[in-house]
This record gives sequence, C-alpha cells and structure tokens, in this order.
Amino acid sequence: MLELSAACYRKTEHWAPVSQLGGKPTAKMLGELLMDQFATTTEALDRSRIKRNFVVSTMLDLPFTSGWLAWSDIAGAAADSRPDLPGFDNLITGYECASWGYCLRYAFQDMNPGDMIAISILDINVMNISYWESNPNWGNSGFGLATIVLTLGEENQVECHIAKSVNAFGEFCLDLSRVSREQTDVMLVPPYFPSDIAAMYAKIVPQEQRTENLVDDWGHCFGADPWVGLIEEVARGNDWQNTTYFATSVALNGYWTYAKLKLNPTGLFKILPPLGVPMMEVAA
Amino acid sequence: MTLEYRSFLHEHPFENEVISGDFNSLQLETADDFAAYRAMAIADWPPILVSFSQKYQILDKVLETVETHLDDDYDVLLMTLRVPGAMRFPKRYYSERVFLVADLEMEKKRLLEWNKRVLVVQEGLVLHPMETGQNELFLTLHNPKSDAGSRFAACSEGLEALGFIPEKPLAKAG
Repeated sequence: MLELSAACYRKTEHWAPVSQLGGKPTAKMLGELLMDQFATTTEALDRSRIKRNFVVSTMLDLPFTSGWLAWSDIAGAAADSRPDLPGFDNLITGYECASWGYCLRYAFQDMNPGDMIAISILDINVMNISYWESNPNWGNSGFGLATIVLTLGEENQVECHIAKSVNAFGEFCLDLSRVSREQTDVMLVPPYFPSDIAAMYAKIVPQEQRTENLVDDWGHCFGADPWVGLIEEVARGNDWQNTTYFATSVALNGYWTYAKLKLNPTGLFKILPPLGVPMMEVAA
Repeated sequence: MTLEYRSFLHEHPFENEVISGDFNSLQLETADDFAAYRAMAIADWPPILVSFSQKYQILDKVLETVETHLDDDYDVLLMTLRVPGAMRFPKRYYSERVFLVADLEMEKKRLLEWNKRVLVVQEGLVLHPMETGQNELFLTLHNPKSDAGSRFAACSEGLEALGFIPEKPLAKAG
C-alpha cells in the first residue's frame, strides 16, 4: 500500500505586489518558495529515493497559457536556489484538482516499491484575481501550497475517474459511497466544500467513514484538501497510526481521483506558518 | 530518430455550423483583475477559428486519427491540453498513455533517457487573446520503429483531412 511519508501545508495570501513586477520575478519567487517547502518536507527523508517531483495546480493555468509565466523559469529558479536537492520535473494543470492523482497514475508506470514521488500542490492567487476568491461551485477558496511525499508499496491503489454525465459532483459522491461500502475499514478524506454542497456525500457516506469537513477553517483548498485533512488528523490526535485512508479530490469538470494510503508513523505532517502578502520594494 | 509533422489550421473547420457562445469569460471586477488581464493579454494573435467545444471536438478527432494509425508506435503521448476549466476534455485524453504537461520538452527529455517511444503533440489552437499559439498542430514521434514511416505518413494525411495543412502560419490579424 502507498505510504504518505511526509506532508506540509501553508496558507498564503495573494501576491499582487509581486505579480505587478512581472512574470519573471514572480516565477523566481514561486520557484524559491516551492523549493524551500520541498526542502523542509523532505528533510528527514532519503531524497535519493525520490524518483519524480511534480508540481500541480488548479488555478494557475491562464498565467502559463498566456505565456506570462514559463514553467522553465520556475523550475530554473528552484534549482538555482538549492542545486543540491532534486529539481522539479514539470507542472500539471490539465486535470485541475485531480491532477495529483493523474500524476501518480502516470509516474507509477516507471516506479518500483520503495521509490518515492513528491508532489507540490500550488494554488496561490498570484495576481489576486477576484474570480478565484470564491465561487458558487466551491465556496470560499483556501490558497496555499501543499508538499507531499508518497512511498510506493507492493500494491498501490490509485484510481482516476472521469464523469459520464453533466452531474459530475453527484457521480463523484456516488463513487465515494461505493468505496465506503466496498472497503468498510477505510476512512475517506473528502475535499472541503460548503456544507450545502458536501451534503451530497455526507448523506450517503457514513460519518464514521469520512474525515471532518473543515471548510470553515480552511476554505476549499483545491487539490490540497485531502492532504490538509490528513495533516489535521495528526494535529487533532485522531487514531491516524491505525487508520487506512482514501485521499480524494474532484475537479469541477468531472475528473476525480483516490489514493489509498497509510501515514508513516514517524513522518513529518505539519501546518507551516502562513505567508502574508509579500511587500515589494519598487525602484524609484 | 524522429518523425515530424508540422501543420496549421487556417480555416474554420466547422464553418457553417451554428454554435453557442460557450466562452464563460472571467468577470473583471477589481483593479487587480484589470491589471492581471492587462498583463496577460497578447498584443497580436492569429485568427480564432474554433470555439471551446469545437476545439475539444477537433482534438478528439486528432487523437482518434493518432490511435487509428499509430496505436502501436508509442508508449507515451505527451500533450499540452490548454484551457482546462472551460469544459470536460474528451474521453480519449483520459487514456493511461496520455499525459498532459506544461513543458513538453522537459518531460520528453526524461522519457527519452528511459528509451521510451514518445509521441509529442503540440497544439496551439487559439481561443481568446490571452493564449499563445499560432493555430499549430505539431506531432513528433521519437524512437519510432523502423517501419513506422508509412503509418506516420498515413496519420499525417488523416490530420490534413481534418483541416491541418502542412504549411507556414497565416499572417497575424490586425
């Protein structure tokens, strides 16, 4: 089974003062932040076992599609800041909040038991675009960066699904119910949604088989939700050492994903101090 | 060794179809919204030939054509499927052999180090004035089998039938 070997999350405010300096300075700061958090998260791990190192995002697509940000600039800045650490492989946004699961599915084809994969889930409202602040589809957004490291076991259950109908969220909830019935000993970690929306899965997945919907504390953190949820399991002193979890994420357009895992009993699972709005000096 | 096909769409592929205006533009409300869009807007761009749903229709046909002719010729198909968030991508893009990345070059390089047969599909079908692209469709097959040339040529013909013409880009509008 997969092991979550380490996971860190930090909240961030918007980066409008940075983005006003342009795409290149923004890329540099993003690269440095990604690498700094990767270094913290992997400090106690054998980094030579990390075979893939992806960054995923739901909301940072348009800055790349427009050419305002270039992934090579971010990866380059990250590598420059810590050339002694494994660099970042690529950015994946196409599967939205479910991107982490599609990365796992893809990467596992070339990985072996004992290998590690790192994924950074980056959803910072870099340009402070109001659309992303909140939305009827997901409520208030929670912006931040999650860094997770997973270790492959002998048999690893990762599922990637795509909806067949227009009611993608309904299909996702029904599928959560299926999993809860098929594997009664697992705890589902559903994404955070306002209670009116989460009611769809709350009604059909038994309460004892799902972690708490902490949307009032965190907002909807896009693909980071289940990883925040797992860190919270540790922080709240729940019985995480003896629990098998299903991390889950769903994308607005109808992709969803699961990963079945246990947490490393000695792993680092931490909420890092939040980042405020960066204050930038503007040249006279 | 590589096989390469470089083409451009230069006519509306669904010229006489009535379509819905399916571009749900993000609302501009705050000063930061306007600043963001000003920063991301591109000053000159090629003609917009497809709507969001039409783009996914034609990209589905592109993958169908690839599967028809090259199904046994690649291990991984790398692609940048741009503008997620608009609507669900076609089911063919859900295949385990397809992976959507921001930087084709970086992932291709790694896969070639592992001696994979890689088909790279670069699409630049432009939908709005905040997208880079020249309405291009480039296919590059890396590490092909020795007899893949004829199949690649047949695939190229299939793509041409969809309207992707192997030629230089049109002059930019405006």
